[in-house]
Amino acid sequence: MAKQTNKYWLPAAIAVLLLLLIFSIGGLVRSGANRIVGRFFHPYLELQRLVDAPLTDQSLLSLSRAELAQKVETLQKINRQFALQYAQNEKLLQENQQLRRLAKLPPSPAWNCITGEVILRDPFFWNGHFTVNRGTQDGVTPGAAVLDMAPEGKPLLVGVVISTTEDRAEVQTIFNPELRLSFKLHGQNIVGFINSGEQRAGNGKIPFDYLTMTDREVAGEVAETTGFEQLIPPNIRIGVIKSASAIDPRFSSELYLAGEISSPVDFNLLKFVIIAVRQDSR
Amino acid sequence: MTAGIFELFTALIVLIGEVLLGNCGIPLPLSMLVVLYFSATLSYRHGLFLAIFCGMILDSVYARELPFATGYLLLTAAASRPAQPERLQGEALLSVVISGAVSGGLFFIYALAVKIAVPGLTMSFWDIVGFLPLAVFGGALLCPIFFWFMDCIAKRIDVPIFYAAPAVTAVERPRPRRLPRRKASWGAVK
Repeated sequence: MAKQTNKYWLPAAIAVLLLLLIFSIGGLVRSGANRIVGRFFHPYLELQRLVDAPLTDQSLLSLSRAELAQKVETLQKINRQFALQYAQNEKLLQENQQLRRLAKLPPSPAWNCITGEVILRDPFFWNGHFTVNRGTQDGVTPGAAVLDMAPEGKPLLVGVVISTTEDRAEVQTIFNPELRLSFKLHGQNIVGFINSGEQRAGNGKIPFDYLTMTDREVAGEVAETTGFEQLIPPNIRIGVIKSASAIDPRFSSELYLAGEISSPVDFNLLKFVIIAVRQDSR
Repeated sequence: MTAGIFELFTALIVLIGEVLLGNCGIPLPLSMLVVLYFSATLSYRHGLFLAIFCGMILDSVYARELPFATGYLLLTAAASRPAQPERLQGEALLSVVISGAVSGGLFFIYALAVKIAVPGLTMSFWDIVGFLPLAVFGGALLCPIFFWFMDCIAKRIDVPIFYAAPAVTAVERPRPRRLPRRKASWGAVK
């Protein structure tokens, strides 16, 4: 009987021991294995992408001519708005460069925008990280910001590149608790940190903490990147502050506020991203 | 040798399928079925090897911070142990169904433990709890189908180890059967 029991417990004990071993040394092995395994899976993922694209194109055929014409018209309208914005921004940029020259300030960093496609998603950590089909050969470096475009054409922060190979890059998203970034409130110098503190991310909300105490209501304010991280451009929208700890600074000695930011990025629809690479970081 | 090649080839095909399905947002852990099949059909050592092999590949390709797949696959290898004796005698259905159900249950208990211990798992607490009966039922249903399918393939490509006689399963070297021990009685002549 004892021997019979051993028969069942032995595999379980070995499994637990191996699990502990892999948990402890897994990180070391995985970084190297990622390159090899990535190369193995690359053709299959590309194949899936090649099959996906014509299918998506074919789905357009299900729309009527009137619907298609309306879509084209809407897009043309948006393009005209972008062209106007671009012209205005170009003027401002020239003015800014001229002022910097006169004030003998160093030129502001320039950013290269690389468009990438999401080729691999983890079904169990869907919002936590993903892989894009751009790597070191395209100029992508670890630490680069990954952006999505809001419908009104403004960039939104999606995540940060954590590792790269020649042809792909792993992206850690803003919903990943490992990604800690500074943020500031739009138009103010009030700074906090996302994914810090004791709260956990979930349901499209990013926890934040260490936001400098202010007597103003912060809920509803726009959270943006600060530019403190050298490879992330400043003033990129992260989301809107949904809730913050209700503390009255007149009656409390608390120095910081904690709360949640709601991000407008829909990770289920995320297919194409923009990777902002600082030009002097290559 | 044949068994090893068949095992690795099947594992790689299933892994590609799992990654492609996962990319579409379908979290179907097919590698669990492979681990369960080879663990029950050959030996738990094969199961453990496959669990580590498939787990490391999945965790590497997704660049996960923690070896999530390796964990549940190792548990699956351990859970397949009760199915093995019956499988070896060819009376597999019930034990395979039980093993599938146990593996499905273990998977979600593991996911629950990971959810509590490590943040970042997309599924919410109530998602995991809600999926528990589905996982148990799915495991119990998918497992026999997968076993039958694999046995059919083995038969088709003529790999005798898997379909023929589970009694010769450890194949190359069939083990002698032990006779049950007799209770020693006083005054027995040796």
